[in-house]
Amino acid sequence: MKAIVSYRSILMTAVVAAIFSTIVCALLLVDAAYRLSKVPTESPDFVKDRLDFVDQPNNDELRKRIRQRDLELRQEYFREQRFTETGSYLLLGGVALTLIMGKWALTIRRKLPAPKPKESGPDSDERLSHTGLWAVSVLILALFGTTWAMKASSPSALPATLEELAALRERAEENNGEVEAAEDKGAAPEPAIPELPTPEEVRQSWPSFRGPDGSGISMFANVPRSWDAASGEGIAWKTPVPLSGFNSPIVWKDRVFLSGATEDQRAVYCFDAATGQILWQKDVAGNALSGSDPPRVSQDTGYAAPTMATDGRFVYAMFATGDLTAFDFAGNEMWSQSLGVPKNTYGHASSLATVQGSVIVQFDQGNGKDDLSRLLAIDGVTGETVWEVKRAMPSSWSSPIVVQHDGQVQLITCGDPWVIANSPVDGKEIWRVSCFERAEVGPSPVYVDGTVFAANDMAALSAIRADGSGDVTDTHTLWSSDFNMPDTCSPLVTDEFVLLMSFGLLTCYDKKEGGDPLWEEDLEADFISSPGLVGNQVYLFGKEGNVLIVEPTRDECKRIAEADLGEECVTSPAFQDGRIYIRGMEHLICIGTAAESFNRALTGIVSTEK
Amino acid sequence: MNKLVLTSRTTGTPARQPAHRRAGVPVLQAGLLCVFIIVLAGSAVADEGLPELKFPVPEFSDHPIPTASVPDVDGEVGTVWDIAILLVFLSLASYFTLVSRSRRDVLLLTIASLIWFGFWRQGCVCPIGATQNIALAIFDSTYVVPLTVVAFFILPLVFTLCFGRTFCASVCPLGAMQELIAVRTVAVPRWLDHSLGLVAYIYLGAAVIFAATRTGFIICRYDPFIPFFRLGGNTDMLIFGSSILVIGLFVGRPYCRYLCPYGAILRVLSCFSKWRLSIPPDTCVNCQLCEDVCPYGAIHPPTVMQSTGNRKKGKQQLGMALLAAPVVIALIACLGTMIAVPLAQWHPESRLAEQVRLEEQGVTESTTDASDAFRGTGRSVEDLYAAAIGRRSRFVKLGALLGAWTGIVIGIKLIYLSLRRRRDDYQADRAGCVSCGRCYWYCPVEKVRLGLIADISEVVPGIELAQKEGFPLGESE
Repeated sequence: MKAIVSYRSILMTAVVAAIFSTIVCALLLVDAAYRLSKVPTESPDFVKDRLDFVDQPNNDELRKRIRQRDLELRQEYFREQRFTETGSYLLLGGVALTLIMGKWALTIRRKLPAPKPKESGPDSDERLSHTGLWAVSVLILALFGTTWAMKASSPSALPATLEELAALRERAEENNGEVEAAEDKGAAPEPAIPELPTPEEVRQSWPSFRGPDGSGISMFANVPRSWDAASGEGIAWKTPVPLSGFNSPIVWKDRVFLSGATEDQRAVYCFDAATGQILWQKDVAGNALSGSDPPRVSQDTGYAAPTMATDGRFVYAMFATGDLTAFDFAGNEMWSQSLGVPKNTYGHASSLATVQGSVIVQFDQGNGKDDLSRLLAIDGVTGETVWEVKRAMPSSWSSPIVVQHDGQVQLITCGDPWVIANSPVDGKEIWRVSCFERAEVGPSPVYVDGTVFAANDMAALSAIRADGSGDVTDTHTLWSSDFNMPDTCSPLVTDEFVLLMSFGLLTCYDKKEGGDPLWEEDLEADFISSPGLVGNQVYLFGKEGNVLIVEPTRDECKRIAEADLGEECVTSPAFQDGRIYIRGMEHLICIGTAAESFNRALTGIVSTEK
Repeated sequence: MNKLVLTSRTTGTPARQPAHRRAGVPVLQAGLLCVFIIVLAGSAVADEGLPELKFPVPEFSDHPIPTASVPDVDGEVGTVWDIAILLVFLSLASYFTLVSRSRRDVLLLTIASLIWFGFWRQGCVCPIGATQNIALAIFDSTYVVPLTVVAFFILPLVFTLCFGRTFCASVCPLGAMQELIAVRTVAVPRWLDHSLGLVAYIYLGAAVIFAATRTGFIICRYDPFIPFFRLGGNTDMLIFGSSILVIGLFVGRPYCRYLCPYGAILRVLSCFSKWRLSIPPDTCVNCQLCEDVCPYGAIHPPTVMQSTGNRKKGKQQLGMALLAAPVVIALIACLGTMIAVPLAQWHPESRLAEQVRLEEQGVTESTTDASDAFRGTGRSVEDLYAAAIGRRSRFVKLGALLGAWTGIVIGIKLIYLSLRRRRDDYQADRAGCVSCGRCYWYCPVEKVRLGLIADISEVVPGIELAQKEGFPLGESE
């Protein structure tokens, strides 16, 4: 009986001590929450007095009041600190008592265990010798994973050797020298505006979505065909992109550009094409958001879907918020403006193009009846609107292309239901063809050998002669077909064929005759990226990071090679001399030769130019 | 203790109770300890704000600005005092564990160690952290390691070689804290226990490399209990420490078993100890009572005769393990070279170089206190970059070394798992047993020795039969 009473009293003591400790703990936590956010010297009345004293330095009364308040604040702070200290000791005492009494109570009621009968069969050592090996194997795998994670999460701004560092710094100094020289010249009233590049310079680079003419065709045949993302073999570099975005890389000489954005942040990134280092990154102000709610965008579109563009003098970037901005190659913002938050179901995604010193914005939005869609040409130097034409069509996600047909430059765009060619000089319409009735237009048009090819899901693939005037739907549509139409991927046109990628199904049409497909190949993977052409081989970047290189013939889709990016990919590649630049979900990846070879190649280009 | 046993006997309570009948009080205590952990975290958080960060020097006054001063050292007496206390505690721990075999005394010593080495001495100096000082002293001749630190490192090793892990039992404040909260432990499967135990060796390797290269004392920086001992710490460490404590409620001594680098050394030395804890004071009767009460899974049952086929398979497995070990070592050594950059970036100078380079490139627009301070030193950026790049190239080799060490540890584990050891009775694992003495109370042979019962059959009915038949009780049932 005595033992039972003793147990109860011990248990009750433990419970009381625990309740006491809990109350003290709660008080301490509440006090901590209050005190951690409190900065004594930022007390409003104290701050006000101090500010007043700046204006009245000879006010003795104010001086005395500040001194007194300062003293009070300090006393209050240390009083609170003593409170915490006392509470901590009370807490320790309470917890110690709880522990001792709890342990005592536990000891009194301690019972012997009831072991289960041993099972027959192999003993625990034998089982361990089998299962332990598997567990150690899993640990080895975990080590691999940890290594990868450590490597991926610790990018270095420093190169591997001092020589490389010296070369990089030398190059940066040269660039700075150029900028400074430009700034020195800028002592004149008007800064010197760089000249537009030659057509050859444009062709050598990748200045906008799918290259110089938006066809996705490489100028270079020496593009890599094999690499191994896992081991890094054949990967020149791989750099994490701080902000996400579904826009594709553009390249101008030794620079690669991308943009990224979230709902409340936008940025433009300039990468060193040789090393992958971010040479500069600039935040873009959200002018469009002032007074407006952020646009609703789908997860597949995001806030930075439009691919940037460059005219060789500046780079231009646009975001789902309707913010449009221009930077020079040193990262100085030239101008920035808002076109207004677009009313777009999935989020604005149309990429930019440049022509004759202007940046072209296909700003389709709304439902087609609200008179919101427009096509704009904006001066690359000043940001002023050169011309603007209304488009009686709803939202679209297709990108404009700039082509030269028979000596005439045309700006070709797609929307519901039209394919329209405008003049880049004044925006006047040259011709139009109706072929996308009630379709959500995503893929961009392609121009090859005088013919425009445009295709879209829920509509058709149309081959249109580009020499018309006015509505030439009935007269200039060479052929059309509606098998396996794409919803996001733009067509790829080779010398003989038109290739469409639709939900993993690659379909081949005769370029001249159209009609029924020559063949279709189920690639058993999802593709969002538009296909690219190198020589006669088609590069297909799958959503899961799988890459397939095929060679289309009249009879079949010949598979040439397969590779992997190591991460998801929904953007389109930029092909350069011996290299592919592609944006994965997390990294900008350069597939190809290492920095030294690249530098030699680049030097070759520069010296040739000279 | 006498009364407890007699109460059980006189009331006729069966010696073996169903598990669910035993749950009440531990659950209560587990709940109370959750409160304890939250409470400790709470008090530590409350103390996080530092007054000097919030208060500038008073204005309009003649308040003197304190000058930096070096605190007085304790002198020789303080050093000797620290070492003497450690020696006494280690001796007492060994005596309580091996001679008097008193769990109660071990527990009281554990509480005393927690109070003295933990809360009073605030967890420093401790043998776990001393590993780094010794490593630095070995690789850097300019570093003079204090005598106290050497003694704190060596004494537990010597005692372990002589008496097993008595330091872990009741002298280490980190172990003491976990020992006291291990009230509702679940058995960790042996395969998991063995694989997770390797992490401590990897941690040891990394700690030695970081200490030897003056990169940092990571054992001290990531000591999960220091915020509690000092009633203050940063939020990350509080979360880490609290997590270890919460896990410790259900998994016995998680830090000691799976992270403690010094424990990793003691595990090895304990295998060669001259004397060590024996569960029964005399012959084991294989009653199986001790196995389930060990919260650390360190008591293993007798082995059974292996079939010829299994023995052959075991030999094949051993052969495979011997062949695989060099491959594993080479593979993980290669892997180690790949983490040169992240390893080097642990060094503050390398992190500073990265920051300065980013600022130079314009990638980051804001400077840090460190980069501002660096520019005030007059040291050239080139010098800083050269040091960082040089360190990175050294860490390629050191990473390989760390990888090789990890590979060796894994290789030995593969071989160890493939080796067959024979046990005729219940034995404490030489490496895993922390000499806590919990098993004593449950051992009927120990009760007979203490005179608490006259015969073991009073506690374990049927044991006489089991002994007579000559096979373990579990199997007889």
